[in-house]
Amino acid sequence: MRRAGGAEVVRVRIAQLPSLTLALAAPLLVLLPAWSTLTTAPEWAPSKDVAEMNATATRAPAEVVMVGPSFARTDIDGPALGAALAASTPGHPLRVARFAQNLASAPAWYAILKERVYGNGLEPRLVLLVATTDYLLEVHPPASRMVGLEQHFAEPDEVLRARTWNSRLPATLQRALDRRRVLRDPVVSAFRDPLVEMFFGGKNGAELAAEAGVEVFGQEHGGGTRRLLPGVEAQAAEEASEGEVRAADSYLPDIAALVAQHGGRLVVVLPPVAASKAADHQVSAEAERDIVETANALGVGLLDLRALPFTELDYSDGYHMRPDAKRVFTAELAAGLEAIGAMGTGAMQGSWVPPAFTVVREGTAPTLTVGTPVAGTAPCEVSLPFPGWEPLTDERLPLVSGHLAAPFVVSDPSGELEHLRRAPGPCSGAWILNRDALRVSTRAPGPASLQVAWNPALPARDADGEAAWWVYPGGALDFAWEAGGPEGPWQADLEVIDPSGSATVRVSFGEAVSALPEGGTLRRLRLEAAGAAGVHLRVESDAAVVVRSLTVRMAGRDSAVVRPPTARLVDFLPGAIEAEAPPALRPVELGVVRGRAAFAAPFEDTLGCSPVRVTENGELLPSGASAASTTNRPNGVVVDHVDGHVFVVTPDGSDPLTNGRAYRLAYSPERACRSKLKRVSVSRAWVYGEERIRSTVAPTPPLGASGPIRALRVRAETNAPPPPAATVTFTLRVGGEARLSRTLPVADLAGGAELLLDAPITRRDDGEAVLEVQVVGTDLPVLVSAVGLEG
Amino acid sequence: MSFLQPEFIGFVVALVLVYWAVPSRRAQNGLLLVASYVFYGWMSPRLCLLLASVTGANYLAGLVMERFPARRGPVLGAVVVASVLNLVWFKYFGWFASELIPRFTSPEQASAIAAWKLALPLGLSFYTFHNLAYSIDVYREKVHVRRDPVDYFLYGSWFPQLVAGPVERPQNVLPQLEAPRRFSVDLLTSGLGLALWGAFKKMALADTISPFVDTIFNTADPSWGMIWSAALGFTIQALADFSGYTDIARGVSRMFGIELMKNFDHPYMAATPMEFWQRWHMSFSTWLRDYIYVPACFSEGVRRWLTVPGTGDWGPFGTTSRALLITMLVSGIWHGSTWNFIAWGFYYFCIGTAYAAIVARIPRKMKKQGAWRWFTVPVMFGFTLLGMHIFREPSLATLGEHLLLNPFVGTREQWIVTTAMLGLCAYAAVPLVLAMLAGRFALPRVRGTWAWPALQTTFWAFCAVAAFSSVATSEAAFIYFQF
Repeated sequence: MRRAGGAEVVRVRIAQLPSLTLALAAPLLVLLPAWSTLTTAPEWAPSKDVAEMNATATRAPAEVVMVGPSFARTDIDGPALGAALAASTPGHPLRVARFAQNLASAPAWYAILKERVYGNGLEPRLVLLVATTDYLLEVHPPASRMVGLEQHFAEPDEVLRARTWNSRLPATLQRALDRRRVLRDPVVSAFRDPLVEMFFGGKNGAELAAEAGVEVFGQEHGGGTRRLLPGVEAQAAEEASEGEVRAADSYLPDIAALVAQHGGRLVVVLPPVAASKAADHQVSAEAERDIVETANALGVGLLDLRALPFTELDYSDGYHMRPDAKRVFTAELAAGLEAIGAMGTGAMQGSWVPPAFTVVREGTAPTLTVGTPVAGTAPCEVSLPFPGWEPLTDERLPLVSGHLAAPFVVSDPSGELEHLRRAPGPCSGAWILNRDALRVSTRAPGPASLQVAWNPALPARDADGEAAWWVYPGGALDFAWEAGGPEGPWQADLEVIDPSGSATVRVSFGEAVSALPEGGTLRRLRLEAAGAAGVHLRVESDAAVVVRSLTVRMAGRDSAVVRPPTARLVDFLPGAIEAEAPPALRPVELGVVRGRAAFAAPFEDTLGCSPVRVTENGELLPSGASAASTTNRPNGVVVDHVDGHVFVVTPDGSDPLTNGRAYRLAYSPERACRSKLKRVSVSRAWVYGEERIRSTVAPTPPLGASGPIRALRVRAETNAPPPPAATVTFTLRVGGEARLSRTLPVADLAGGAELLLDAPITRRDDGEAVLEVQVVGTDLPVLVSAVGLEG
Repeated sequence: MSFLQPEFIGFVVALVLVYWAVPSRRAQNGLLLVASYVFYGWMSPRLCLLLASVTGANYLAGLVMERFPARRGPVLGAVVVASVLNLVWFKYFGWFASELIPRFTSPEQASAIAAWKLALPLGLSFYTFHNLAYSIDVYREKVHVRRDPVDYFLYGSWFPQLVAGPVERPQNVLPQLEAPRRFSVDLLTSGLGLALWGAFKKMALADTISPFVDTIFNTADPSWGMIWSAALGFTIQALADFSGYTDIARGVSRMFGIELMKNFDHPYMAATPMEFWQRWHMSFSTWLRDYIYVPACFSEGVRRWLTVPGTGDWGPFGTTSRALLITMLVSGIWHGSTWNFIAWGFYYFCIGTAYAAIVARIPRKMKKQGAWRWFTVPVMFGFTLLGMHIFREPSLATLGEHLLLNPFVGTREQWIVTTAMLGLCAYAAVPLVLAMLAGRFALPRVRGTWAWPALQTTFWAFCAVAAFSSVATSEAAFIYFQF
């Protein structure tokens, strides 16, 4: 056929030529724009972090540069380090510049050093890498940290490409691979964002979706959250651990080479973290030896300060040091740097490991008296009335002891019953906290002999470390410094919660014995003594109490921090409250409080949507009227009502039944949705003398606030007479600009005082709002609490 | 080797060039056989032994059945039992170790036994079923015994369909392998187009929405809206993922002149469960139909065991229902060893039986009206959505929790996430719908015209660019690799 129709075949081919030409040319309409987009060098604009680092670098020459994650920001006092190092380097104080970026690991340190430090012309004599060993060995950061790394450059250099991206490709091809998602993401966004914007308008749909993702999936799951953002989700898949990297294959050699190339010296500083967090950052012993050997081979100094005698109480969150601990750590670091000759010209070597500080608890948990068991409707179900303490559910446990572990152990003659978070099955040998009773499902039908005791395992470690310690009758809680620890005069502030309200707590140290007065729920006691090495402080009680914090000051160092808020949730009894009728509110008849409140707050009510209002000494408390969990959250709403019960969490954690304040309940026929008060990020914090705290106002505006926020509400108190000259200054900054500053004598805060910082905050437009509180002229702590926004 | 690895592109290109340069059919088959084992053993060459033993057992079974016709039954029984035991060992031993064995042994013994668990070899259940089809059909005398080991081993291990189907039949593939194949540009272009369309569906659609779906299903406390929007996303993802894989497999196979059977035919346009199974994973559905459902219909044992005493056997309806129950439970168990897969199979039995009972009573005249499908297709899609939801959930307990969520409860943020997920569903669904409409209305008009080549090449370029731009999210394996 081919032969016979040769001419015809040629004719056909000629006829097909335009079609074939078009077939070859047409795909270029897709391929050429795509290739052009993919291979165009990306634009780069410095992020806020980068701009700050550039400003730091260009401000003045620095002899010492600290690079690392947030440790480099929080754990070291730069000027103090500069002064300490200058003492051994006569002539002038050394300037210490800080280049810290949250969660930055080795690839980011390399980028910061190359782009921000040396790229801006700084030539420091000494570079300190302040970080944990796992971050030091990290080569492939997870998605959440890649974002922090990539902000330093438009395109990574060869070292970063080779180590972190595992690429030896030519730059153009690598760029095309890196940028491949720029073609897809706009298409995805075009489907997703307008829909979000249409239904939840007001701002960009992508922004709304990202914020919603953070809220729904949680901050801690960076990868998961970012999956709502186009373009980053792919990196989340790389978050899986890749096993330990050898130090020689890490960024350490590259960083050492970079520093050496600029004539500087490099010291790796391993800072301590709280014992409860140490496991999060451990690498194997073999990897640690490998780091030491590699550092030695590279001529890099290594200061292992992880064993310094800090306790959980020295950290605000288990990782970052409180100011006094920071001062101590800085001094130790300076001494260590001097010891290894970091500022000299000889070889660097060595590290220093101080003795540890321990907390020991003794005693056994006492058995609790429970009420008469009541048989339930289901088989094997027995209800044990709770012995007269506050009503408890699992959701409320954090308010009591700061962690979710069960406070009790329930057992029968054959052993411990299982504690569940949901209703136990019939005859399952399990129990659940059910408001004011323990609901037990015994192992078999029929009479059961049950025993309830405090959980001897308390305190469990929660996300913030040990939040509180139980002290049982007949037992003791000991705080001790090992021999070789710090010496000198010391003070201790002890904070105790007494659930029963009748405990007598004895604190002994050496020969002295002090006892807390009976009654009350929240106590603070200050002890002063001069102790030598091996100080031993013992807390005993004749009833189960919770030691919430111990603040010890010794030789100028503050070795303790205040624990997270431990507010109490107290069920109002109808007789304990008083109804009144403010002009806008209709009074509640006490007899119908329960039914009315329950009716008024159906389950699906949103936060802050309630017709029930409670005043404390005439002051309207913010309301919740939603799921109980919102009330229980630290810094959550203050008033809530569930199932007809009205609950109040007092701003200072005291018991509203006994704290002497007047509470009034009123009912408004108009549902008071969209409360004008909204929590901010820190609602309770101790501020010590010469210390400044910064509290960022939460990004979420008050519900329903359509206009600008007009004021910030702050409450402050102290519990001892301060020197007359002591002052506390509140400064409100918006977008870095000081909007308002108020200074008060600390003496005015003795009974608690409330300020209304009436400066407008329109966060979305103006930038971040930050409250700074500083105490001057006394070393007494001031408790800043109950901060809210007014719309 | 996975279809998504860059090496696969080089592998196929090189193989196509060499393959069409080889003059003889036997040499071509030999080359493809070697290539199939290279493909399968790319990550772990030891897996080739397993593949060879499964293929070899069925090959030998065919020869033995031919040699000893009187013992065909026991031989078939032996090879079926051996294949099923092999499959159960790899696929369900973990379930036995975690669910059953601890009930009868001490914890130490249970953990020692659990240590025997082996990873499921890729594609084991697919090529086990694929090879068993040959033995069963030889026993039924539907195909004649193949003596040429190269041809048979190539049938048993043909790489495009090896790891996730289609579950081929000997009647379709063996004759093609035994016939000479002629090169044509059409084979290459249509094969390439199909493979690129498959890659687009997998990478640009399925893998793009997959992280969002996973994130929501992994959320501890999702709202009703979130869960159902994610279920909708998974429904689209599953189709794009699995049909994408099948299209790549069929396209690549076509480039070598071997046509594999169609596996998907717009399954979400089905009006009844039976029609759904005629459109979804068709190769597997027909396998189940021919080797499980039909025998079960005629099995006296099934009738005896699955009839409630004193209720009668319910005639043809009872017969088909019993067979459907067996078939759907096998399908559920084949998909996985968790209870929700069994529940999924049972769910399809329930709706299949209900449809059979109800639809049979609807007048045929009504069913022939156009409005009938406008009503039944959305209803069936609702049932499919629920089925996919059951399929996707990690456990029955989680499924129960999610099904009991209150539709009216959700924070503003949860509704935003729901809306975002629905937007992403639209992103993934629109190309599939457009492709269906184009296939029905536009392609028949433009195919063969002067513009057809240009349209083809532009479409290839579009698919290639779209797949490339999504390739970062393609670390996720194809959903059906796990089965």
